[in-house]
Amino acid sequence: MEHGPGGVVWSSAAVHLQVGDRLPPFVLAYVDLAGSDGAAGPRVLARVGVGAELLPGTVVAITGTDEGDIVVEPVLVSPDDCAGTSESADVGGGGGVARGPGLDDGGVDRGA
Amino acid sequence: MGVSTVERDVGFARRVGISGVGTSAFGRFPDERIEALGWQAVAEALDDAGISPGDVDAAYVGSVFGAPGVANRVLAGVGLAGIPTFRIEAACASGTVAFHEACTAVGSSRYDCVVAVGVEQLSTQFAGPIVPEASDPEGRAGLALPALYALQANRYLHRFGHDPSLLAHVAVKNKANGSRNPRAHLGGAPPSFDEVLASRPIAGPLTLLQCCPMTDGAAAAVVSPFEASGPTRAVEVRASTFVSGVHWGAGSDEPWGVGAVRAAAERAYAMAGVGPAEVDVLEVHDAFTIGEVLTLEALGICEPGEGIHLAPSGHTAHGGRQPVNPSGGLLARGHPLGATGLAQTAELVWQLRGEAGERQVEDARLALLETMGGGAAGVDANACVVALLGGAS
Repeated sequence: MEHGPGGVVWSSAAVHLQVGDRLPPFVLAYVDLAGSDGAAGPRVLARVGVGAELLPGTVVAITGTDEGDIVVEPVLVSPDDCAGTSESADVGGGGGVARGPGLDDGGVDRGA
Repeated sequence: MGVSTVERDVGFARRVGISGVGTSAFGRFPDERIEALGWQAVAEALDDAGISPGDVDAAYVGSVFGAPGVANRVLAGVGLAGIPTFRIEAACASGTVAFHEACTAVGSSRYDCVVAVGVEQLSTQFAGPIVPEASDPEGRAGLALPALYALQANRYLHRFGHDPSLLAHVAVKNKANGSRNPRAHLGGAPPSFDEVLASRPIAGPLTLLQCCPMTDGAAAAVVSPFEASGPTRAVEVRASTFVSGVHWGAGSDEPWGVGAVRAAAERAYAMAGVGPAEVDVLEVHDAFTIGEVLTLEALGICEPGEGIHLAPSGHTAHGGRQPVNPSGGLLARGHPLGATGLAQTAELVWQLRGEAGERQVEDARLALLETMGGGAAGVDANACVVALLGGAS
């Protein structure tokens, strides 16, 4: 099945623990990739390249890999450009918005 | 997307009871032999049941990181060599699956007296948190369990628009419960709400005090036919159901694990002929604060999106309408993975007998046990067991 090269964040979280060789902080996200012909693509675990949590619904693009991990970054596109994902109709407040370390967003991004 | 499938042999052909329980203390015991933890638990359970090792027909032993042969070494040390022995690994639900299999074996008349044991020693395995399994694609990508739960938490908080600080109430409640449990790993003075929130960030909205400790310990239960297990003190296993996870991915809007818990719970309620409102006390899998919230919703204790209010409202507090984790739960009693399910079982047996001391839940007659083990890429759980236990009426 063809999919990508982007998708929509299902959820993301900043990790403040060292996990194996991965030094904190780093940010992981489940991303629902855009499928072909309007179908939903697979949900993959990705590294968020911007180093900040992304709201569910944020549209992202795969920008490369890092030691085998998929790396995604947010893109400012219309949600309609990402049809076929489970989030395509639910991106209202979050589409394309990255939560940076300095944002006061109610505690979703603690100390990243 | 599939729906979690409950194994077919969930019904009991005869009534099943728990006639004895026992545990070790819970904490960090790197200088102990893991077997010694198991011996304490099994010896107490046999004594509690009033039986000798020669009365036991078989044993089911749950352990995740215990070395090969640990089950037989534990059993041999308390005189249980020479009986059929089954080692089970189902992540955090290992001990609960061992308990479920013991119940199924007695309920089907395969055996008449079975010991279920859980044993774990994490302090000798990990210097810090559990390192995710590198052969699992998501483990290799760095998805430690706190991160997995943080992803669920952020999705849940976003979907329902909740304040993340509400999660801290679960930690405050369970650590207060643990302060009344002399066997708990973290049994000291409980932290305040502000102290929970101010503790070190771990992953997403989860701070250190919202995460379970790395715990060593063991627990055991003696399972036998209800009528033969001294009904005045015996606890009846009115239902026990076990599901394995199904595919979880795009198109699954529910947080990971919720479907597995719900599938097991619905069948358990049907098997026992009760509903969630009838449950008096619960021990559930609260490895992280969000885990208790999502589990209580999946169990039908409240509607989706409302679970985060159960702790701050007092509904799940000691003295509340449906106390949850009176032992302190995984957050305070501790989480010795393979032993956790049987530690939960022991607490509920003591509650139903009225033997829980200052933790006692008033008029506890129906108890719910739930453990969900996770951490396998692409599926919504590793395994989940829900059991309903009834006291003597």
